[in-house]
Formats: sequence, C-alpha cells, structure tokens
Amino acid sequence: MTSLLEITDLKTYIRQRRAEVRAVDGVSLSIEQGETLGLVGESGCGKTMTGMSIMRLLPTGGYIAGGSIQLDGRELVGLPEKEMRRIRGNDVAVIFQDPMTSLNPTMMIGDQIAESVRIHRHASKSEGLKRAEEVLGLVGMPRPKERLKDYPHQLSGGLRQRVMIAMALSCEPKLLIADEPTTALDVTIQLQILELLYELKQRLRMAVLLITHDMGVIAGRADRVMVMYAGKIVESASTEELFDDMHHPYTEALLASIPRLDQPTETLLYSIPGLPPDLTNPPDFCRFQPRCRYATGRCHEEEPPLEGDPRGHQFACFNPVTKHAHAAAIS
Amino acid sequence: MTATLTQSAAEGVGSDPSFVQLQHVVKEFAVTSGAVLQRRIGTIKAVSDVSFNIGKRETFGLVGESGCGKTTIGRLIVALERLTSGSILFEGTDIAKLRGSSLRHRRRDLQLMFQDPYASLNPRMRVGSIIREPLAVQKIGTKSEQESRVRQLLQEVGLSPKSTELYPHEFSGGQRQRIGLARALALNPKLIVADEPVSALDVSIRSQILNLMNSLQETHGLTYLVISHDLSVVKYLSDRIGVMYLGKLVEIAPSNEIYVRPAHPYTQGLINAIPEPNPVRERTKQVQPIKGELPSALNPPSGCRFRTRCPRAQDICAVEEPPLRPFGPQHLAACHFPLQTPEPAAAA
Repeated sequence: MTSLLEITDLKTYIRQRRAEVRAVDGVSLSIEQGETLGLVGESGCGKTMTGMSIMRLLPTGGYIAGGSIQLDGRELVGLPEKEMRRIRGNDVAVIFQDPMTSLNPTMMIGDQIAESVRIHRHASKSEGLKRAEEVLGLVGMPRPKERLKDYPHQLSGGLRQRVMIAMALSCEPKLLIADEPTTALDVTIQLQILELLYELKQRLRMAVLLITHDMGVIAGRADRVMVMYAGKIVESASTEELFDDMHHPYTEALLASIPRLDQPTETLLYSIPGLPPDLTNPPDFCRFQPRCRYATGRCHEEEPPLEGDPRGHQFACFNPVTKHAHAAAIS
Repeated sequence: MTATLTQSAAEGVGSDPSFVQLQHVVKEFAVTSGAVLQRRIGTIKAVSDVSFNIGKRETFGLVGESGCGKTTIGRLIVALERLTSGSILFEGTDIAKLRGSSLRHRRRDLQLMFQDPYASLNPRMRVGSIIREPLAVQKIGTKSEQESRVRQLLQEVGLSPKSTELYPHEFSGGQRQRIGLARALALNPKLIVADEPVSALDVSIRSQILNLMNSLQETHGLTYLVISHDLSVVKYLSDRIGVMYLGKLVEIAPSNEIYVRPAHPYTQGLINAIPEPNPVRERTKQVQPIKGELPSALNPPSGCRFRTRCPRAQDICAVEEPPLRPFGPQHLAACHFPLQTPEPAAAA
C-alpha cells in the first residue's frame, strides 16, 4: 500500500548572494492516510523548509536540488506550476503560525475562505460563500453567517486561526501542513485550537504534518515524531517510544533543557553549549558533534547514517543514548 | 482584620518582605477617536486595583495571557508608565511620586530586561556602547572606568570582552539576550524586571539564559520580577507566583503550591492547557479547555472578570467581585467558588 506522502532524500537549498544554504539536506519521510507526523526541531533545522517544499512555496532563491516528493503516488518535484496550483489548497493545505500576516487584511474573511472553493471546485460566488459559512461553523466560529463580512483585524488571534483552518479545510485536503499553528496564541486558546484540529482530522480522515518546536504539543498530538537538526533527520519513532526510549543525544538534550511544571523547583536545567553549524558550509562529520556530550573521535571524522526501520525507530548516531545511560545522565 | 491577614499573606519572602510594595495600583489607557480632535471614547482598564509585595532577593513571577496587565505592571515598576492611581513603594519610597533628578537616581535600582533580543538593542551601536550607555547617562565613572566595567559585565554573562567592538547583528538571539542582561546589570540594580526573558529564544538556548539569571541573582543579590505567559518558565525561576486575568490579580501563592493546589479556576485552566512533554499523560488527560475568548478590556465583565469563561460561574459572580481570600500560608485567591477550601477568617 502506498503512503499518502512519500519523501525520498529531499534536498532544498536557498541561493544567497555569496553562498547557498543547504536548508534541507537529504530528508526522507512518509505519512500514511489519517496519520499525524510531528516534525520537531529548533529554528534553522529545516522543518519549515521541508513543509514548504511539499507545497513548493519556497522563498526567493529557494529550489529543490534533489530528491522526490510523492503525493498519493504522484511525483511533485518537477511538476509544472499550473499543476502545482491545482494541488495547493485542494489536495494539500497549509496553516501558518501568524494568522495576521497570512490572511489578506483587505478582504472579508468570507471571501477569503470562498476563494479556494471557487478556484478548485469552479463554484459560483454564492456557492462559495455557502461553503465558507459551513466550514466556519465546522471550526467552531460563533455565528458564522454574520462573521463572513468581518475583516481579519476585527478578530482575535484565536478566531483568526480558526479562519485560517477554515480556509485550509474548505476543499477537504488529504494532507494538512500545520507550521507552528499555535505558537503565537495564548495557551488556553492553544488548547482549543489543538482540540479542534484533532477533531477535524478525525472527522475528515486527514493526514497532518505538524511542524513545531514544542515537545509538549508533539507529545499530545503526534502519532510519530521526526527530530530534525541542521537540515537532517536525527531520530524518528512513534511518539511514545521517542519520549520513553530516545537514542539521539540531541533529542535527550532537548528534553532535558525544557523547564517542566512537574519538576521540583531546584532542578538545574541542562544547557546545550554552542550553536548549530553554518548550513552554507556544513561539516562532513556529525553535525551535532561540537555540542554533544557523548562525542568520540569517530564523530569528528564521519557522518553517522540514519539507521533503523523507517516506520519503527531510526537514529543517526555512533554513540546512541540508551534507557539506562539516560537515567544516569539526568539524575 | 481580614485586611491584615490579606496583607501578610501577600508579603514576600526574603530578608525584607516589603522591598517592593504595590498598593491598589490602577493603570488605565484612554482610547481616542478622530485624528484631529481625539475624542475619548473609552478607557482600557489595563491594571485594576492590584496589590502585592516582593521581598528582597526574591524572584516573583507574574503570569497571565494577553491583556492581563502583567507587562504594564512591569513598566509601572520601572517608571516607564505613570500610575493612574495607587502607589508603588520601593524601599519605603513611593516611586510614583518621584520626578526629575530623584527619579533619575532611583532608576539605577530598577532595571528592565526586554523580551525581544532583536528589537531591544540599537543595531547601529556597537555592543560596548550599548552596555556603557546607562553608565554614561547616569554619569558614573570615567570613560575608561566605564569601559572596564563593560568588559567585566560581558565576562559575567558569558561573552568574550572582545565583543565590545561588534554589532548586535553579529550575535545570535541567545547571545543578544545576554547583552541585554549585561546592560541591565550595568548600574548595579537592586531589582530587575525581566519581561518574557526567553520567549523569543530557541528551546535549547532558553536554559542557558535561565541558568545565567539564577547564578547572577546569587552573585549580585538581585531581586527579580519575572513576567511571562509561560507558566513553566515562571515556575522554574520564581519563589512566588501571581496569576493575572484582564487587569486583576486572581491568585498568588508559592510556586509549588500554585501548581499542586491551585484555588482559582483560571489558574487550573492555565495549568491544564500547558502541553507536557509526556505522551502518556497528555493523551489520558481529561480536561475541558477554557471556552470562549478574552472579553474586551474596554468593557470588562461585571463582578468577576473571569465569569464569562468559568465552568463554575453562578449568578453572584456577575454581581459581586470576589475578594482575595487566604488558602494557606502566602496563598490568596479571588473566587466565590474556589477549587480549595478557604481558610476561616481569623479572629481580631
């Protein structure tokens, strides 16, 4: 059975004036129908570029330098723009972090939601608005019919995010890319939106690529997780297994550096020293090595390959963490 | 009677529990309409009658979501805003009444560490000048003494003294936040207000800054007011925490107590909403999200401001604003139907 989304050895680079940033440098992943895959990492790790490569919404100078992206068996890399436009908003949709900059401030929200339906389903203006009202109701907007004439600036952050979700879902996509969907929202509104996304994904049997830096959000909402660092996948596993039995030192360090509500107040947080490598000139040895507390000589000479079952537990490390060692390290 | 109990429960820990005292602080912002005539059409009640103390060498955390007033309180304490009414006592002096040179002098003791490491450093100034600026403005020391102090401060925050010649854009977010801290320390302040000190930083860099803040507190005997929407960060740094909602202080308690025994439904809702990096617990959590949206600060709900979103609200909540009541040592909450049993009123 083919996966809904199959990415193989994707390389997305960004041409800048003096150099080329290797933002995504050989990433492979797959998402099944109805599955939520979490893509977690910090700024500059390549998680957003991976998501944007699927939709081919790349920044100036960005291009896919290699690899394949297959949606439902169909190759997207190299597809003519005209075909890509039929897929965007229709088969694959995206919601971004900041709804204020993603929504058109000069258009009423009803028209913005209807736009997608009119383009992809060749609907009339009134049919489009009818669908917009329906979908606004689906995302829990109070009094949807009245809100169709609102402008984005009249709504709060949480309501704007609901509008963005409504826009994304209006054509019932098979895959939703959610890039930091709740990071800019208040935490109580964040919970509302995450619950909403979960409900909708169940109801529409939609796959979700959840891109975030928040390990808590991943823990609660992703079926599987892939951890990215410096343009590469360093670990991937089912969510429970990743948190319970992580193998990559970066995954371990990330979790140990987060303040948690349930920790006793005197706990000292682990601090990862240093900074990620320059992706205009990445090293040909392990990219995490300079900051890794378990690094050995080999780590400075070779790049560890990503090993293991792609649908099971994979990691790229010569000195992986084990449960026993992890417990000793954090005590 | 009750007032005294309330007073002592709101007092800070540390060597001098009333190092900073906020008393019935009110801050309102006028909302005007019209380009030329500026008619006042309403007021935003950003901070409405808030009182609490901060003890010397204590870390007090102020937590809440958008529009709760926590940032405004931070700015009032460092006198970047002026009170509408009430008082803020610092070492016994009402700083809200200070003006001119006495205010300028007091500013040395009360410094601010900003949220945005990208916007808070002048991109056209070298780092050395940025950190030296407060010393120059306050006319402390000679130029070479100032420069020597700058190098010392850079070392204290973990940056190379050679950084003085570089510009902010040559540093990462975490490094810039260190520069901001160095600048805040330049005048040897007694209190630092840290407004969202790590929100703009990557997750793995946050712990560097949090650990640095803790160690600097030790060496400099600092008092901190930490302001953040992130309860996990606030709990990590703070001895006591105040929870704000729409301009009101709804609960105040020692950090661990607030997490283990929250009394106010909003505090409980806030705690429940925080996603924990623990898949088993996250998936088995049976929590109802707090419904609805934040009401307008121009026209807040009558009685208890949280009632429109509160699962426990009843008729009285619309009529009578709940007072802060004690729930244990240093623990106060304002709710008619709290989650814990309040302490009985003490005898006079």
